[in-house]
Amino acid sequence: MGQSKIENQIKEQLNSREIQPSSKAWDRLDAMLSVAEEKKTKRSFGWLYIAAGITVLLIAGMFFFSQNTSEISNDNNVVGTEVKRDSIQKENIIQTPIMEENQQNQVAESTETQKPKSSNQSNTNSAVSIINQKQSNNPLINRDKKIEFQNSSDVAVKDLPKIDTRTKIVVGRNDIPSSGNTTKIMSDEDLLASLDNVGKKASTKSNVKIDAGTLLSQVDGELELTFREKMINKISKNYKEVKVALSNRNNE
Amino acid sequence: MKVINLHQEEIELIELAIENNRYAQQKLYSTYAPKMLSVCRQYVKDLHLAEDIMITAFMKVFTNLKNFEHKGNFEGWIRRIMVNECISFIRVQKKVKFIEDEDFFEERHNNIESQFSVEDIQFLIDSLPDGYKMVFNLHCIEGFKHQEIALLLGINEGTSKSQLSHARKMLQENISKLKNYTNGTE
Repeated sequence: MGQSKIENQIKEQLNSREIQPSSKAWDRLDAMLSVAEEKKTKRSFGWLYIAAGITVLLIAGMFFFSQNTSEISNDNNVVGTEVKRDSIQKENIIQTPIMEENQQNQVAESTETQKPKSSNQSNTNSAVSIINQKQSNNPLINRDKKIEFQNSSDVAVKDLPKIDTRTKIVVGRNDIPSSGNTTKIMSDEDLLASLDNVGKKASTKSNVKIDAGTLLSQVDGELELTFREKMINKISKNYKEVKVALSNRNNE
Repeated sequence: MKVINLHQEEIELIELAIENNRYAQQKLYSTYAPKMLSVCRQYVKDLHLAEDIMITAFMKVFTNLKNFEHKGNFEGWIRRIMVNECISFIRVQKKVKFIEDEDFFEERHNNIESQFSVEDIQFLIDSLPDGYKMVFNLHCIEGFKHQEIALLLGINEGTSKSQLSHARKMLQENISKLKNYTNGTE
């Protein structure tokens, strides 16, 4: 159904109409637009702040956890090194007399074997080689190097007086593993003993039985008591204040 | 040639306004504000309220300017935003409720051969109830179909038709009254 003439007239006239808005209209729109822009910028900054905060928290958390783990590892190292040092000290303490004895024996043997078994070149060669090894410095140094390489992991052994230990270690070179084993066993025994002690301590601790339910009930009871006490104290204070105020008023 | 230049200038202004260039925004506003205030005035009797609605609608225009795809007429796009804003204002502020009345009748067009001023026309439209006014404006001035009006107002298509028929009837009565008044017969 088509539109009537009057409707067409209404449409044309209304579409061609223009109403000038007030001068304040643009100012209001301008203000609204600037507020919207500020909100946008604030929003963006807000997101930036949130993102920065999250990253800072993450970094702090990472740092905190990494610090904790490093502390634990350091503790382990300390325990390990302490044990090693003890064992090394023990090794040194134990080794030195044995080595000295071996050295003396071996030197004696070598000197003894040199004289009677001089006819047998094959036997003498070994003795001579031992003597040469003792007399010449180069092999000594090599052996020292070898020993040092063996004990390279332990800095404490390196720091020990080299001149005294060199001969001892050279002579008692074959005994090092055995002595090491003995010391290890000793250290293990010590460790086992210490562990047993710890176990005993733990067992003594475990003998004390703790009932979680009774503990909790005790704590609850304490809390309730304290709450009651607080309430009673408050009420008594208020009562006293009221009493004093009333008495003052009566006196006046 | 001049039209192409104007269109190009408008596109440039729109691009600048998207980037919150206040000069471009003001230029677009000053170009379309008088027409759009007229549109708002069709729906709202109070001019100050119509201006408020227009400002709010222009805010929406500038904030949603990046969504304009340059496919249709820019004026038509702004006009649609204005109309939507007016309808939402009337529906929210005045709480207009449409009675589900699907009884509409074929109107007889009184081809009144008389010229009315814009003020008279506005007076005639203002005299209509808000529901009739909205449907009449949307159908006769904006050129919406009943289906579109029904979707926009959230009513049935039949209700839109009945509202329009009632509006036309009332308008014709008012026109005859006005004509009699201007002729001095009443």
